[in-house]
Amino acid sequence: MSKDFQQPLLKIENLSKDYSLGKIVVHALRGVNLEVPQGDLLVISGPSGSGKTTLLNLIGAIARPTSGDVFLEGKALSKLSDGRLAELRNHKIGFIFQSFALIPVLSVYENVEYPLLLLGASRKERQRRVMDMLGEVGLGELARRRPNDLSGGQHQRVAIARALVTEPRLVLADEPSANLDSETGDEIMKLVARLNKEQKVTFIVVTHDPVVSRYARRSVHIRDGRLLNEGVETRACD
Amino acid sequence: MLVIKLALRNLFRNRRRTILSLSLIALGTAALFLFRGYNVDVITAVKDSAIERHGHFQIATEAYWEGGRYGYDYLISPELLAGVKEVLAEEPQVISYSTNLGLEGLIATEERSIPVVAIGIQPGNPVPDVEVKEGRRLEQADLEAVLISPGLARALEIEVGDYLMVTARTVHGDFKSGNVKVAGISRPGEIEGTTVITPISFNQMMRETDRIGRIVVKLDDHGATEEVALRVQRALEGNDLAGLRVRTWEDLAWFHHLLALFLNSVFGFIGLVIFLLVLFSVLEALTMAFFERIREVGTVRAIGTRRHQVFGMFLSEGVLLGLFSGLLGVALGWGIGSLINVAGLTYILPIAGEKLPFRIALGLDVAWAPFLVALVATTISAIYPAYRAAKLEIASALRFV
Ligand SMILES: Nc1ncnc2c1ncn2[C@@H]1O[C@H](COP(=O)(O)OP(=O)(O)OP(=O)(O)O)[C@@H](O)[C@H]1O
Ligand SMILES: [Mg+2]
Repeated sequence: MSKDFQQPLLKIENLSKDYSLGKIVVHALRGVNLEVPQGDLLVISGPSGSGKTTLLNLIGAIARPTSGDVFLEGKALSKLSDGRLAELRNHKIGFIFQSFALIPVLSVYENVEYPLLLLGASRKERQRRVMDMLGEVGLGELARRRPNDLSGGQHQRVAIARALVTEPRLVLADEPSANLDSETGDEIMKLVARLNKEQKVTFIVVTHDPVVSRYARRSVHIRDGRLLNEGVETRACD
Repeated sequence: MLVIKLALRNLFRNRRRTILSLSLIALGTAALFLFRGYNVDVITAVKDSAIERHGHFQIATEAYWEGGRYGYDYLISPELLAGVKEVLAEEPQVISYSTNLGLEGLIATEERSIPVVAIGIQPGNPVPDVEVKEGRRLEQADLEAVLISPGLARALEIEVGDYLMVTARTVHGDFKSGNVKVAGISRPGEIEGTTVITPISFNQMMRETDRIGRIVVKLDDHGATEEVALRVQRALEGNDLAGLRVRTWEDLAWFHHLLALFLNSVFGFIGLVIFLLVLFSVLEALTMAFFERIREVGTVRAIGTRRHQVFGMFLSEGVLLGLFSGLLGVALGWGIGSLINVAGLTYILPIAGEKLPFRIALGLDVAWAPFLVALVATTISAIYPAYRAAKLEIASALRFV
């Protein structure tokens, strides 16, 4: 093991997030601590309203915490400006959302190409990476389709391709199978597990469906903004 | 490029809404184009006729311009005129000039008399050029002839070939009479109400002087008026002709100014109405688009799109809409304008009482203003939705349903 492998890819320290709705304060996260090593496939499961999306948003630098901090490759996100955070999301993080997350006016190809355009990759580079990635998720044939002409499962495969095309350090998935039937949901999770294994992409998947945990290397449970069984190993990291 | 591509695709996403906005803006632009085309045509026609009448500029004594036309000394002596001619000979852009001497008096048949101003011109000189409906123009050989307006002919109940008696004062203050033969009757509008046109030699004879009132100068280019007038004024002052003043047709043609001011104000008003109409309808359309795309903005921001890029997408959508509909409107106005011109319509303007051709001036000098109204209105109305979209918090945008 090399030295920097000992530093976790992601480290969360005492993370809290409050939302104030008028006079009521919702404590969505209450002091979460977590470490995620390079190559992990962590599933965070919990009931609706337990704080899963909030946690994912803070990890993904989409929102800022009330207290505590997130360290990605040792770097504190709280120290970065909004512009730097956008750059970081573009370069280092991939997002997979529950649904409706493709840009409807762009083709499958263009959707996957989008983050590469933001990165300023050359035309040739983009073409190579997009077609590789579409092949990887089994959609090479559908490159010219519009999202509206896709099935739910195909939709999520495109979303996965888009999340991975920049070769991010960390991919965050918010209930990627929630809007799919269980068979298609399984396929999506199998794809995630395969990409994790073959491409060594680190995934964090949140879900309210405990069944999804069986694809995890590790799984944790969240309830009322607290992690219950921090860092329980389900499968060994290889 | 990414921003423009997305804006373009988003623009045609809700086809019905976009076509509605597009038609509204295009129709407004076309209406503005036609109105402005009509204005430009009328103003140009009035300007041309003012120049026909006044030349590009005129030279007279300061006293003449100030209106102190009594006594003798406001007229230009033959010696001064010779000096002016030398100055004008130095100007290659002067194509012709003519001397005038006015005469105020009574023109009479046996039954009735009417006070008139006789503009004494040099017959055969193209300045000023009067179009004749009946009879003929004044010719160099004419000594005692007159051109009158159709209105005056009706009032005096006379025809071409009839004789009229003219009574006026000499420069010494005595009364004097003479006879003139009606050589021609002008086309309507060519000569103002109680003005007649006589040979300058007749007026000089009647007033017992060899002097003239003013010199009317015509150039080869409208655009050179100011510049040549200024040079001539300087030359006059340099040549010991300091008492003489140059006035351009713009100084003299108050009607042209008034009409231009009026038509431009009406254009401004209609332009403002259409501007506001476009502004609010596009604002509504883009605000609806904003609400439909809140989640989408959350998504693209999450994957790394910057705020200013989101702003650019929404703004470009408005700008593109303005560009397309502005161009479409100009094309539409241009097409309708060509049809109107081909149809050769005429209309009657109440104050002129005569048939005028209804024409629309076409060209980029007409098109730019209506186009700009469309473009600026859509751009401004895109700013607010674009600002709101750029300001969205990613997490709440993603939660929006
Ligand atoms: N922007 C917000 N403003 C106010 N309250 C919020 C906001 N976002 C989340 N919450 C509240 O915080 C709590 C946690 O929400 P969160 O979306 O993180 O839960 P979740 O586990 O993702 O739930 P779900 O399974 O429904 O997606 C909930 O009570 C929710 O109502
Ligand atoms: Mg959630």
